Amino acid sequence: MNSGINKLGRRNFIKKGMAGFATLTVGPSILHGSLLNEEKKNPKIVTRKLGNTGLELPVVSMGVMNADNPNLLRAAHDKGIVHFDTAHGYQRGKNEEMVGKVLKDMERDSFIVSTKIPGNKFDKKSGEWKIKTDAEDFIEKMELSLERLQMDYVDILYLHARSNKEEAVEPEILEAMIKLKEQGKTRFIGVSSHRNEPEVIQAAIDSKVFDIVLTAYNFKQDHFESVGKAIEDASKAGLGVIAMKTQAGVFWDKKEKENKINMKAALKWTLQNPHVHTTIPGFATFDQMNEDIEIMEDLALSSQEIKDLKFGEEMGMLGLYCNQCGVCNGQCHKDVDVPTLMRSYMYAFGYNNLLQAKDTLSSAGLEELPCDKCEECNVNCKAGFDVKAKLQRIYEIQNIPDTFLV
Amino acid sequence: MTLLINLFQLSIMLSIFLPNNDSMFPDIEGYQKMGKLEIYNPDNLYDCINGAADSYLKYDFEELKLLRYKGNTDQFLKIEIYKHSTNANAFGIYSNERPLKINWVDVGAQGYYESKILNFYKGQYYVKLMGYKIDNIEELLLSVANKVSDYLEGDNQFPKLLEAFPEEGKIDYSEQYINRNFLGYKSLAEAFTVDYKVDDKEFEMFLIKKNDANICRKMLEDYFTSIKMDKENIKEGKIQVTDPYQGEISIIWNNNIIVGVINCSDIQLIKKYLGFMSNKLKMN
Repeated sequence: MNSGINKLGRRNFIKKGMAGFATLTVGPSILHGSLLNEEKKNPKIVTRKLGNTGLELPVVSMGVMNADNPNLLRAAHDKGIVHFDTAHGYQRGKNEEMVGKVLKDMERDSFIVSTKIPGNKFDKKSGEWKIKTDAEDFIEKMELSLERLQMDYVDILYLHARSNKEEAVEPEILEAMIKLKEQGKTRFIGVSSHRNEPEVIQAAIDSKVFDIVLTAYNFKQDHFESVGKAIEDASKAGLGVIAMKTQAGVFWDKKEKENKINMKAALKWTLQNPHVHTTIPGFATFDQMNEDIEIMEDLALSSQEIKDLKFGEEMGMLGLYCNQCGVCNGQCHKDVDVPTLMRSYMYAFGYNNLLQAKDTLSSAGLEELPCDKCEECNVNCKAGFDVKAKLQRIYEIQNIPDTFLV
Repeated sequence: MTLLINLFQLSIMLSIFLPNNDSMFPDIEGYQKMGKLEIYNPDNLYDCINGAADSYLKYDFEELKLLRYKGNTDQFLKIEIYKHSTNANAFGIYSNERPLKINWVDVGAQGYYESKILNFYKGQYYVKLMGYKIDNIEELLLSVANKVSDYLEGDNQFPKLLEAFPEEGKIDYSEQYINRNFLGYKSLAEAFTVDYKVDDKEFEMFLIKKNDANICRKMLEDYFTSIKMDKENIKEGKIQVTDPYQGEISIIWNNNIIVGVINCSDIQLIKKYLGFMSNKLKMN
């Protein structure tokens, strides 16, 4: 069992002057990663048990996907982060290779590494599987992942990115995963999801095979309540629960990128749910790393942080869909009823109610969408949506016969 | 009976009724195009490639067009054409995924083949082909890739700034473009990098070119703030940086260009390599 505290020592370096390198006395080549010229700070580490796995992890771990600098992983490990999450498909394997290069220099019991391999896709509408892999292929991918990671085993192997219960418990792939666990190539097996998460999590619980679920969970999800409930059910069933996509897209306004979400508050919000055992924020800079680790100093949300998480809602910037603030009224030079079309878009893509979307579109009374004639859209959406793109997309729904929509 | 149609299926459905703009996807003898063209944008790329989408979005991904083919029995082929905002960004995502050692193929500006997959880069495009249960698959994928490449706009050249890097000691195929968070700092961006090995000494060189000197100054000031170094030392010319995570970095800044060497302890080597780049870029 891993308590998660790194025991690497500090290294000493000759401090350099700023006289330019003509007069420079250069010390030894850089030894990787550790904090060099400043005192290593020991941040407060808060841990939670990862279900029935026997592992106890810091509540902040690292999603490695966005990092392309190996020293970031080393620094994170130095600061007490124990769990590193990658995947077979990230950067065509180079992400796993980077993780392997960094972790091979560390004691094997000082870290927990996870990777993910996809199965096949199941189309609920047609009831058909899109077959691209089988058990043999899955196992081959696992062998390749281990080779890249330079390890004999990973701690967690996930079935990657499942979108429904059928995909979560695909029999042949599940058998392959169990076999890999029996062979000692992975200590635990899990399933990951960022779509229809409650359904996938429930399937994982019902299967009685999985040890861990990895799920998208953040304050901006339209369905965070049902995800939170599913997380609770999984935890009570003894599964480890790890949360991802915790910081919900970084900016409230996707287009202008002027209003940044309070990232610490967003991460803390996820951990207010005691059934989330750890999180894997995908920090890509040292500042982001420090910010994420700092939340363990105090996991409680302050009143200001709670207010910050409501900022987007108050400013009409919450979520993926137009909230009908009406600021855009009258901005379109062609007099398109933008709020109505945006509402149609929301019905289609937010609520999957295509008939309602089409009815709403019809109510706008458009004979044709003039957007193609405008080089630049002068509608300035407060929420930062690309209004022209969304209108062009939803306008196509009028070409779909009603029989396809009911 | 009410059918639940999710976002992904809606995208497919809409694409059925869109004009079939798949002209960049060639006809392949013995194969039929399956379904209709799938088109993804930054809002829904995740639906197609899951968490890997973040890497593409980082490189200003604009659009993915995807088409599948089926052979006469159970062969299967898929072509993905990713369009990015600039040649540099397309090169960036391509180099981000490119292995150092692989079977290189002559297509676009550069391509490679590995185990039923062929990827290449040209202009603003990063193209990925994959096959399943196909005999002579490498030959087929190469033929198809060349047809796709011929259709795509752009030249078969790498970004021009890479020509400023010295050839001596360069580790082949190590060139990369990091458009954000270079070295783990938000302030450092749009860096071309190349790895070197000279007399068993391994180091990395980088080049950042911005629109004007003020932008470079701001970049360095913000970087110095992050690493708690005195900003008074920021002047055009040679700058020695002690980075708490990366170690020693030797930099030359002139006007709108910054070049640097990371992880090299040999002062003569630093002078030689930075001097080369400085001359090549006509930095005073």
